[in-house]
Amino acid sequence: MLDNHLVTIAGLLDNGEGRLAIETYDAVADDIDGDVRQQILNLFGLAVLAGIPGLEEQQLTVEPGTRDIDIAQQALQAYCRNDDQTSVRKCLKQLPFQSVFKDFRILLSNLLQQESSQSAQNQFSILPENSPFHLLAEQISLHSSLHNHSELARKFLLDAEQWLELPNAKQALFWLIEHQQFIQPHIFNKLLINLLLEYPEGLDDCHLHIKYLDEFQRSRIKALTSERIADYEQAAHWWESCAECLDTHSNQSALLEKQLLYQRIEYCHEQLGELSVDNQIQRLEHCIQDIPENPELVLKLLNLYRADTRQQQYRALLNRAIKQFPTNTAIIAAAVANATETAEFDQAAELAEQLFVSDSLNVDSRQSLIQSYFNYSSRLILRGQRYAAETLLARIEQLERPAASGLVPVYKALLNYVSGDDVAAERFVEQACQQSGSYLLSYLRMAIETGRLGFKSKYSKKYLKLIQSLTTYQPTVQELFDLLAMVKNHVDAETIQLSQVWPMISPFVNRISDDGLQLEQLLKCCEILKELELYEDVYQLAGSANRADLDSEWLQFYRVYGQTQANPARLNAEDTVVLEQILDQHAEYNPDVCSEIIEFLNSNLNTSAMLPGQWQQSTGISGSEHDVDMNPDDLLNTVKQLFKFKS
Amino acid sequence: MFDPYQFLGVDANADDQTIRQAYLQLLRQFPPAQNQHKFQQIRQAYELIKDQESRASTRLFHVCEMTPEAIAEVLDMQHPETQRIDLEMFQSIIKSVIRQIASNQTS
Repeated sequence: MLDNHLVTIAGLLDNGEGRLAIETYDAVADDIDGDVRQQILNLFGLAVLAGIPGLEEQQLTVEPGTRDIDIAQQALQAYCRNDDQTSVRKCLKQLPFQSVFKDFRILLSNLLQQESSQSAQNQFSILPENSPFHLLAEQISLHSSLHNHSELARKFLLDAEQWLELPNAKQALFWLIEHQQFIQPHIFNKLLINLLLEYPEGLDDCHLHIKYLDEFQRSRIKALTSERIADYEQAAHWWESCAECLDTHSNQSALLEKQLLYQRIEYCHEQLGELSVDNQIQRLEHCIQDIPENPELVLKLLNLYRADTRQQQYRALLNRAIKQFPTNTAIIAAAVANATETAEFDQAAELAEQLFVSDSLNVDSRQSLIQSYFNYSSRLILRGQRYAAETLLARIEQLERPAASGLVPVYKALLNYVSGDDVAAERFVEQACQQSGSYLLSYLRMAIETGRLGFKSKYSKKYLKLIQSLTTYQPTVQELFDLLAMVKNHVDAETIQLSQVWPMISPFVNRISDDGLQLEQLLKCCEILKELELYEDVYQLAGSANRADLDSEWLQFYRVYGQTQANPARLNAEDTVVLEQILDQHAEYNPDVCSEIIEFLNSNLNTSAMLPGQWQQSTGISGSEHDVDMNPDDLLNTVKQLFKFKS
Repeated sequence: MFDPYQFLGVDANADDQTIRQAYLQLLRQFPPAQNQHKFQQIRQAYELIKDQESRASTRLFHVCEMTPEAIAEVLDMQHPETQRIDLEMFQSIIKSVIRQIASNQTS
């Protein structure tokens, strides 16, 4: 609430009664406190600047003083005449700090400052809130925001007020096109693009007016609007168009923009989900053509070529990359791995040495290189280059102590095994096994890989003893898979005989822990064993897994299957009950299981209880694919009949 | 804030250093303790154009909110000079302030 005296005096001034206002002030001056007095004097100062009549003569007797009033008026006139800032400031500086025009000085200085920095918003908070100049500053600020707009902008704002919905990009767009002739082209373009982003249909609606928008901006608008509606496929397409538009530019800025565009495209693809490898490769190839100096892109493409087994392209790109980025550790590491794979071991070792001496090698690359060294070692061992292999293994020991403590003895064991020194081999295997039982598996794997695995019976016994001594070691499912898969490949390729290796492997299979073992993994193991015709092992493995959560019809099937195949005469009553239960439980919704079981029963019974063809004649089931189309009830009854018939 | 260049008062071709100087000057002028909103706007404008990558990213992906005020701001860009209030208008504003005080309506 304002002071009554202030309000009264303001009322008199508003009525143009300056003289009366001063008389009123004189009459009450002694009764009012300092703050109010200051406000009233400021008000008089304002009134003088506004040219309110009645103050001219009285100025001489009240506080502002003639000189201050003159200076303030000169400053105001200079400001309003658009005099340069220096003149106005020079004038203002003459106003003493204790003058009643102190706040006026602040006000005008701030207005000048706004001109220097267009961004600066009104900063009048420095003015005391109870000063009339503070109120004036607010009014000027409000007025300036409108007044400082150009005529065209004011017209736009006035027109925009008429629109019902604000902001209305469509109406604004049409307004813009209507007033195009008054707007400079670059300003028009700027507004047009941003309005079209809000109203993309405008691209079609106003296509005659905006036909001169360049292809880049059209694509950009379409990409941004596609993203806005989460159509990432289209967005990626339009960003690619943008990138193509930049093809004609080769300056640094265009290259940077292209890089950002490709990142954006990648982001869109991530949003879309996985792209096919072909598309990813195509896209990256295009990116690399545009931005050849980016090693990250090259590495990504290398990985894709590798994943897609495009060996030729992989090697061609790698050769180019190693020349282009001779110090990039990731690329050199890739080259080492490639050279190892292609058996260019000398080159691999040379490149690897380059990396080992560089400090920039990260942990992953280092491990990968050590692995390459190991691979190289195994090749040297197989080639019979004993001295070179020993030298390399010594180098690994020197470079990487943790890896060396376990794997190096394994390689040394292999080296000795290949050289025929089985005693030394055994010693190194024992040394490795002190670290972990898994090294024994590694050794077996490598020995199998040599294709020369033919343990003499006396050494087989020693290894078996060694395996038995590893009481705490249980292979992981993955280790077992790897081993079984490898054995199966060799057996299929007839490079080894199962009987040669199985005694060494079966202890591990029997030992596999079912802790945390997934049913699917267990079934895969059973399947591999079944294909290897290791029926007793199938039975053992399936039968050992008797946890409640592994109660699977397939597992039961494997158990019965393994047991029966291992001993064809043994499809006993207990087994048939189990199979009957399986059929009973699953006939309705799992015809595959039933089909397999029936087929198994069929073949089994043909050789034991029934004459050939008898099963089909008695049941009408052929064991073919048509079985699955049978009515489940019929199927079940038929199987039950079969069991009765058999008993 | 439609145009970060305009907001910071720098040319569209300004380099990193010029932009940073303009940014720091504005920060000194509008310290966060006094005007948090303004401070955030200055930060936002600076982040949009602080280096070459930011500027490229802004050129490609920045979308402005098209309020009528923002559109008017762009339209004004063809007449960048700030027009001062003339004396008559200034005096008229003073009189309206006095009237406001007289009617005790300042709040």
